[in-house]
Amino acid sequence: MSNVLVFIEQRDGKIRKSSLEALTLGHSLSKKTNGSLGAVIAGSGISSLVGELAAYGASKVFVADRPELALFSSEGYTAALDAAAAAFGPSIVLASATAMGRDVAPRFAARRGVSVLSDMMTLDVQNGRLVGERPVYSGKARVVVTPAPDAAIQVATPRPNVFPASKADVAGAGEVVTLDLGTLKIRAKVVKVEAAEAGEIDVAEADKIVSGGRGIKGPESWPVLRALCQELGAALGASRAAVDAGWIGHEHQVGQTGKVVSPSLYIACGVSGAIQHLAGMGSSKVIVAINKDPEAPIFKVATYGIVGDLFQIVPAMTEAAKKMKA
Amino acid sequence: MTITPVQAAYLGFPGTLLFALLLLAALVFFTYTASRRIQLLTLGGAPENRLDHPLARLWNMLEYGFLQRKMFRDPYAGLYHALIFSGFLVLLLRTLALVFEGLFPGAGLPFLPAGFWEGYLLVKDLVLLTTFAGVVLALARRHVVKRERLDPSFDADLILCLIGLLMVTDLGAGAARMALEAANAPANAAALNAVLAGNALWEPLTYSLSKNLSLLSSSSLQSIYFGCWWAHIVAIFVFGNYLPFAKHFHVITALPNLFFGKLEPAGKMATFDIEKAAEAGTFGVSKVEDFTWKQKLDMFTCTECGRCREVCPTHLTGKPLTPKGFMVDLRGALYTDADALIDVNAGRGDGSAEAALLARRPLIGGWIDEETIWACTTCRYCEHACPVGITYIDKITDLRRHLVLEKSEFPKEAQTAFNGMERQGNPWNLSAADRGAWAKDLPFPVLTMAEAGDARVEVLFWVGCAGSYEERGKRVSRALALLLHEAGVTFAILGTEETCTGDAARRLGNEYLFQTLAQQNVETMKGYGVTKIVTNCPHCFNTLANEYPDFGGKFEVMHGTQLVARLVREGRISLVNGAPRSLSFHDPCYLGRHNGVYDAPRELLNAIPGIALKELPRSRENGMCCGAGGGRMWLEEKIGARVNQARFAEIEANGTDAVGVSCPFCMVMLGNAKTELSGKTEAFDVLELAAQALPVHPG
Repeated sequence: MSNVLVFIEQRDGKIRKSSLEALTLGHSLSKKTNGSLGAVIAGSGISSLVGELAAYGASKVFVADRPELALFSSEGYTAALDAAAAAFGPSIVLASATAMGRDVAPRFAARRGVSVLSDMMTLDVQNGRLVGERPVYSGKARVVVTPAPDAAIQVATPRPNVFPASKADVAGAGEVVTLDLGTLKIRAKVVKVEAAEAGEIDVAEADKIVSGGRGIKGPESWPVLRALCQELGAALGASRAAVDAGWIGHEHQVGQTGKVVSPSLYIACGVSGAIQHLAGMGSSKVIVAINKDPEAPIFKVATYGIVGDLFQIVPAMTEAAKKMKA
Repeated sequence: MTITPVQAAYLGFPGTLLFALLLLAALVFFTYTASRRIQLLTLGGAPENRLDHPLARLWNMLEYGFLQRKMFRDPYAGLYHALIFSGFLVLLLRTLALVFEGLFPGAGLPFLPAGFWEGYLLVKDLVLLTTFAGVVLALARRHVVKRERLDPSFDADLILCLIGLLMVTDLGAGAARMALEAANAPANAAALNAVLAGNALWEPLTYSLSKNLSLLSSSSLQSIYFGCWWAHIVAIFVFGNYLPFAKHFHVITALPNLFFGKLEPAGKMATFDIEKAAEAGTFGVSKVEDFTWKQKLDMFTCTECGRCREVCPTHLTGKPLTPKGFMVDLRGALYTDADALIDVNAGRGDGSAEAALLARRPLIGGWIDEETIWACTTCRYCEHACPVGITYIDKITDLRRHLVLEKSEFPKEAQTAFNGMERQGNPWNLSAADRGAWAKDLPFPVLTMAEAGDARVEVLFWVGCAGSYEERGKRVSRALALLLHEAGVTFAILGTEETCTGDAARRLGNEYLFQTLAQQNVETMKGYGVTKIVTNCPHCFNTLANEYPDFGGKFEVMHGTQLVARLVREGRISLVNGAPRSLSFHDPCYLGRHNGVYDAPRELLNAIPGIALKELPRSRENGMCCGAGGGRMWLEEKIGARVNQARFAEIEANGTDAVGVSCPFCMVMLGNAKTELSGKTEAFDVLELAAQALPVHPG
């Protein structure tokens, strides 16, 4: 029997998808070993989120609801996880391998003197021990890892966008346990969070990217691409040529000197595919290229190539995506 | 009898004594300054041997120093500088004679052969005039017929006026003395006429002025004579002592700087022992005293003439780096803390010097902005232009070495390139397994060295990263392979065993990565017994030819254009096809200025039917960089105009149908610029054009 405790991230009162993935994973692991599933969440004014966690199978939800935890704090959030673990007694602790999870999980593990299985692509439990694969050499190979046999608590960070998130067949009890963290000693405080461009997904983190190059002709064409982004939940990327031309900010640039990305879907619109650009997105899982020039090098790396006018094709794709969702 | 100025007494003070005291003060002060400068030169920095090949060094000093070889590239400046320089050489003896006369009144220099002095006086008279003319021309250059490269300088004006004053006082003293001697001469007409005839013959300028002065009274003449004489002496002492404090230190340091100049290939960067550096815990240079003595001599020598920035790509595009500004700032850092540096080095003082050094303005981020350090494309125009043999790239890259290896502070884009080189052997981080894939579409097999086995291979074709991965570069690689195949040259490639030469890593300061790659490549090639290499990448060419010998790899390296031009010359391939078209040629820095290969690509272009070469205004030694060198290919260019666009605009203005290039990075940069500016002039690699001219070609 293994109790599984999952660290839940929320931002602006919404639970992050990657945490629900981790929770779903935790649920399946706990079912496998007939253990129970706990979730721990920290923040300020977050009690309304408990119901959602129960829907994903959490039988107990540990809540650290304090004003000073409104913004992320390495020390505060780790203290919450630490206190929840002390109360719950899990043998497995999961946190998504996001920036926050990669901060909190190792801190927690260090306090318990155990290691972290980080950035896991697969995760299972065999004879009560976690076992799974993590990528090495830029994803060219994977290693199978398992915690040391004497580890009292096994800590792992599953990679976001790899595991599915789905509600449990039977919702958990969702019993709320309020954590008393006493006087918190927080030395490093997050003063404020500044988003790069509100409402837009960061290309570096995105799972899907719609990208534009010189072929879009000018900044007035971005709405055409943004509409597709909206439908797909994709981030907006740009080639160096488009950024250099001053059509969009550098934070959108994909390529050798911009961001190196490997989303599961990359739609290149009017991008010729200079090597500087290919170096930044060549490892994307599925590449769709839309270009008027059939000789454009982008077609050499594309999974699907469409030779034609992006101003007809992209809106058509947007329409099709809308219909599929309806 | 005419008395000399030192024979007179001044307020009861004997002139000789006054002179001796002045001389002593001047010498003491100069010796002190010089010794401080020498201490500054020799403290800190890695040892450097600059005494090898003394004959070659003497020749450089003669050619670029005494013969002023580089100065005449600007004919106007060349002229006035030569006038002043030759004046100094001639008048050095005159000054010695003056000092001698000051100490031993009435005596001439003892060691001169008979009759020499008269001839010398004639030359001296001429030189007084030409030097003064030089000063006037120089002042005119600074204030009337200005050049962009020259910045307003009080120092320069002061020094020029001082030189002018030296000439005027020399002439004035001479003429007044001559007139006085004539007035004081005995009434023996014959003797007087002989003296006057001699004067007219040997010192015509002084003589004609003395005739004009002869109306003055003896006492006036004596006043002029003494006044000019003392003014001249004081001006000489002031001049000599002022030099080390100003940019005109080059009067003293230029010749030594040329003698100690770099004899190694221009494109070779200094190799250092990484393990030793790691033990010491310092990489590159972060404090000005850690430059070598020769690097500091460069700082002493810079005259701020600004020739280095005339074709400097960063200066032309409005970036913070200009070679002159960089050198002046380095010198500023060195001079400002000179006293504290010397005291600390000598272990003197009460701790205040240590405190001063701790509180000083830092070299990186203080004197030199990081942006300045990363802006350089290492195109080497500055080093080609500098008349006194100053090198710049070594200093820029020493600072980069510190930032990368010690501080890990560098533009974040460089990390992507470093990772790629480290993991996949190419800066794009593309799969190492695909390195040989470019050759698959050729109608004949291209063997790897491993596949060739014991078969005879004449030459190794070093493809390079761009030739292996970049679409256009791959086409050029196929063109070279085709040309070699047509000529019946047996060649092979390394395929997946080839990896980046590390050129960009080295120039971005990542010496550790460079040496790892260099050792690996040298080992691979030695394993196959490689002796000859051909490559179309000038960066690979430079690294393989000039830098790999430090790692035990001594190969005969040819650039693609050199080998193919030879094959055409030997009749092994004939170039027969071609439509008429006009062509500019853009010289790659690492083929041209770094390795002196200017003619091979032109020879090849001229052998292609239909091509009419029209040289760019900035070509060959004066070619302008495309912006990709020095690892800049892998960095963002955020400040000022784009170098590639600036160069492309020059090419467009040349009005040719196309532009020939001989470097895959120039190709990318100029191709990008064409798109960015919606330009017309398309770039072709010279080898592409040659392959298209083959009797049968696959297109």
